[in-house]
Amino acid sequence: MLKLAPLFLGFIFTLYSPAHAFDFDLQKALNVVQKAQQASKTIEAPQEIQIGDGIAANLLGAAPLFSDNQSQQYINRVGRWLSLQTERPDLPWKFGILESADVNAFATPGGTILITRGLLQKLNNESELAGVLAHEIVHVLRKHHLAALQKSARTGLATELLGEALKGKADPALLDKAIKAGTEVYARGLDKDDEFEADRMGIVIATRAGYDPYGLPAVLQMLDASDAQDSSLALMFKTHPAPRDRLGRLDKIMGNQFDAYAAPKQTDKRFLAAVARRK
Amino acid sequence: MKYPMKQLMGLLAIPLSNLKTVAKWLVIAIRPGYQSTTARPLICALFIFGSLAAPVHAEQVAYTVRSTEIKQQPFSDAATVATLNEKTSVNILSRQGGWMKISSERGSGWVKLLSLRSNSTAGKQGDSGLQSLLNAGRSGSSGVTVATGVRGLSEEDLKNARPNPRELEKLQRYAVDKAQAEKFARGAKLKNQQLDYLPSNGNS
Repeated sequence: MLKLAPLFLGFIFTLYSPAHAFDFDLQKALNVVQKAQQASKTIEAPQEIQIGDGIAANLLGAAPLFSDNQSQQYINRVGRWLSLQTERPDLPWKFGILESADVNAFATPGGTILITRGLLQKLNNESELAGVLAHEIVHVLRKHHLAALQKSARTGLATELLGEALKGKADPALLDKAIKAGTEVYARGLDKDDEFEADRMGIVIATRAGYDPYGLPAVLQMLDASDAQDSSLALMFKTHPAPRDRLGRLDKIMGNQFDAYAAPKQTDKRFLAAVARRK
Repeated sequence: MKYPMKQLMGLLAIPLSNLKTVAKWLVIAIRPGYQSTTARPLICALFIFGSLAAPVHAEQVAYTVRSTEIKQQPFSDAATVATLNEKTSVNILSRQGGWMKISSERGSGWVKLLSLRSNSTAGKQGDSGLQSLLNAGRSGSSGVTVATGVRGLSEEDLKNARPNPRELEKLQRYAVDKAQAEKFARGAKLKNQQLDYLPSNGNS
């Protein structure tokens, strides 16, 4: 934990501007994003995993795991297989179903992916599940949440971290604060472009794993057709670009090149056995 | 009809693979004069099962976002049944890969999934760019929050979340290694494909 202090200090010095911390200015905001992205490279994998596990523990505090071993084991296998198609196959990937009727999914730094029971039960097959998990996996690969955490750290958290560091004591509570600020990123959402990037790369990861590339687009279409007033979708809609905008982006880049891929039928049987029996 | 149509529509949320079974039961059940007392609860059970299950695109209405050909088969080089104008309403029946089976006033067949959008208002619920910029300018950590005592995944729930290390340990125990994942893939004949990430097309 102590090792974290210099790391945080590094990006605070880059980001923190006391006189203007509360002014809003577009150019400044963009600069901050840029710097945060540069700074995120300085957080090493062990710290990334530590922060991510802390955030995952918080999310699990909000909603515990769905108590069904078979489906938990099932999504871990689908997810781990997907992770092997990425540039970070050696992270400690772990996947979980949250006991919640909400429709949502989360990724925390270092390789934890959580999907709600509510979303899982809206899916029709393993390719759709793979599409959702691959989207979340990209948030980990591209360190989207670390960047967002660092961006938010420029105000309150930054002050405290900086103050503690100047006093020469690196309080383990700093990590807790980072985790708390990190968890709030999930209430606020990522930048839209991070979500579009997760879609764009997610479909490729799912396809690499042998799945139907249109699993994720099909889920987005299901969301597009969902009742906007449904409270179980509220946070997901608030924290993501509109499904039709996400479909529009995929529409521009997918073309016909994905038509040749299809998932083996065996995956459908398996999905129904592991997931649908509990519906 | 013995069952009110509206209710049936709402309940028609049955995974594709179950449709055959359901159809069989329906054929038996709606035969004139069929009075079995044993099959009825079974049919009801099937519909209840279905209503909790994933929504199939049965009777889902969508519209075309561009002039779109209806194909006889879900392939680009299949024969063209008809051409739909932009903003034509269609009923989605099922999906196969990037193709949706549809019915419309101009005919039935297959249309590309990405040529269709829903008619619902869900799209308006998405975050606007301005909002996310404003959010980015604010710090989320200073707000005074009220604990509701009800656990869940709302915005407030997440802001007030307390760690649950025991559940995290449980989560870690579910993790599998590479070999287990590869065995799982082989079990369903999943083969990995070589494919590069797509360029962003200069849009983001």
